[in-house]
Amino acid sequence: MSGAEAEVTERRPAERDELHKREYDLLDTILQDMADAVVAEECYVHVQPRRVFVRVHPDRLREFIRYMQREHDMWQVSTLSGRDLGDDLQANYHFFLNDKKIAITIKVNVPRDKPEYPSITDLVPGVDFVENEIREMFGIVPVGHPNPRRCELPENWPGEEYPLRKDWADPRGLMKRSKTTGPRPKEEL
Amino acid sequence: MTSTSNRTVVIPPRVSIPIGPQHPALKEPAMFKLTVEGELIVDAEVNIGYNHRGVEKLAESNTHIQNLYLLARICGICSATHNGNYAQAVESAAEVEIPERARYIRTLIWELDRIHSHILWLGVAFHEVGFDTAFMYTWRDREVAMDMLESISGNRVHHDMNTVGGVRRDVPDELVPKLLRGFDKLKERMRYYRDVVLHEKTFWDRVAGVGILETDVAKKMGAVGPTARGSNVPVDVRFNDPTQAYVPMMDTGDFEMILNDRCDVAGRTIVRVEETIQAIEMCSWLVKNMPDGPIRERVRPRIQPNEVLARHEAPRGELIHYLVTNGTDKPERIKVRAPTHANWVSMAHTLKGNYLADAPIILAAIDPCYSCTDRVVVVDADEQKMELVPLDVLRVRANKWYKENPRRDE
Repeated sequence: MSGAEAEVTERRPAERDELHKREYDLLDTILQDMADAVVAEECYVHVQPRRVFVRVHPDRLREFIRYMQREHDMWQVSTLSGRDLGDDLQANYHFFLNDKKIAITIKVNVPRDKPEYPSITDLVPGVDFVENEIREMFGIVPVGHPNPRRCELPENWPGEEYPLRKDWADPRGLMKRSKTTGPRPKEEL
Repeated sequence: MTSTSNRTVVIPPRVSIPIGPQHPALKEPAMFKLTVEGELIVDAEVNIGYNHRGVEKLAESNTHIQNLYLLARICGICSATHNGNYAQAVESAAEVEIPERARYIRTLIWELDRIHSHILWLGVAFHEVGFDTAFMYTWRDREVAMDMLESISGNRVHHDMNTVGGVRRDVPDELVPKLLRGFDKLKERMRYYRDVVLHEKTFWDRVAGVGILETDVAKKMGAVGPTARGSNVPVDVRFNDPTQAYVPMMDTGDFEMILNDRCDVAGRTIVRVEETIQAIEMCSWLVKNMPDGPIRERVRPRIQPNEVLARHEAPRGELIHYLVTNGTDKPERIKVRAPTHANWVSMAHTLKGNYLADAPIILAAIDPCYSCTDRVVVVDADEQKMELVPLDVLRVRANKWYKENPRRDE
């Protein structure tokens, strides 16, 4: 499935009912306060309880994080996960608002030919390792990371290969061989 | 010793000690570069990634059912957590409700997993401070929990109890009295270990005031699980974001999140011991209140496009599966964030200012689980050459080696 198509269909917004009232209250406040920083059509409350997804412009990300920390007491960072959407690459910051008990995912889309956005490690020290991981795995570069280093992949891994991108062609046949089942013929060993 | 005036005082230089990747105290590969002044650790650097197996990439080419078994193999100690959390992620993506009895059995396995994992950790902690008698005792009592898991699931370690839409095996009624007897025994033993932890000086003096992780630092660095709760940070998915049978369990109001404000290794130990006792009570509650009914719901293998953030409190802390489905029977993207990965960030801070001799217990205090943290293994032979050695090749090579190098007594 192509990236553009997946983006349209994978969102499952919830009804504005009593069950999701707290989530919609939070989303409405965010949309009101940071209207120009977010992409409003991609912000929604998921049908699963206590889940809010927000997409932010890359250049306003730091401002948005500071706003969340100031206004909504956001301190519990869960993780950062990357996505390959085809033309764009996406970084998803997963936070949990401990007072409101809502998990908020902050998405940043970056173009594939220039996958860069400002790092937030100085604002949220907890994402130190995962920002390094996303640089290795997807080639998404958090600019201004205080301690960029090789963290998950082996040291001799080629620099231009990002294994979790969908177009990673597996030049050394690692995936194929890792799925080998059963004994090989004796002469091959 | 004629004149003391022109004696030079030698200040011990800063020495960097690399511990690992293969280190006898830790059993799993990770590298800690400690800079010491004399005995004092002044700087620490954590290097991980020695056991990265590519599970996330592999999972994208597997079906959801295959992934249940693949993800259970991420970790050998808390296999039920990955297995169950992935099942609940796929169920949320498909928007199906699973039978009530399946929820209870799933939660029971999770809590039994927590009991045996915490007792295992307690044993390791006793071992790291040189109190091996208690280490032997705790691991003997852990067998009670392991036997219960075996009698329910058929397996000691990889339970694989969950499937998409429910659980795979029922808990038969004749097993219930046996389980309840086991819980009573475990509870009695855990109360004894709580007394050992609190009153045994050889243990207490090694952990009290060691490895301080202040509350605000733990919050900032995103610590999770007993590491965070030992620093008085109220993070526990079971209470904050309950799923499965935790919802009715928390509605009873009998259970409260266990916190400790000591912020040191002793605090983390107390949290784990208390949590084990609480987990035993939770298990009894689950067994006593388990409703009758079917244990699985059929779910179509093709899952509608959806994006799901599934959270679960694993024994070591918050486990996250971020699952994106695309309408086929395979995931578009699955991100696994195991709890140890979140706890590494604060490790360098915790190590600083302690003595070198305390490093093993501080490292062990987060209950590190390296395989959960790393996800691609590439066995590299030489610098540019990568080689992946399958089990059968390894076996042939091993047999060949032993044939050429016979043991002396043969």
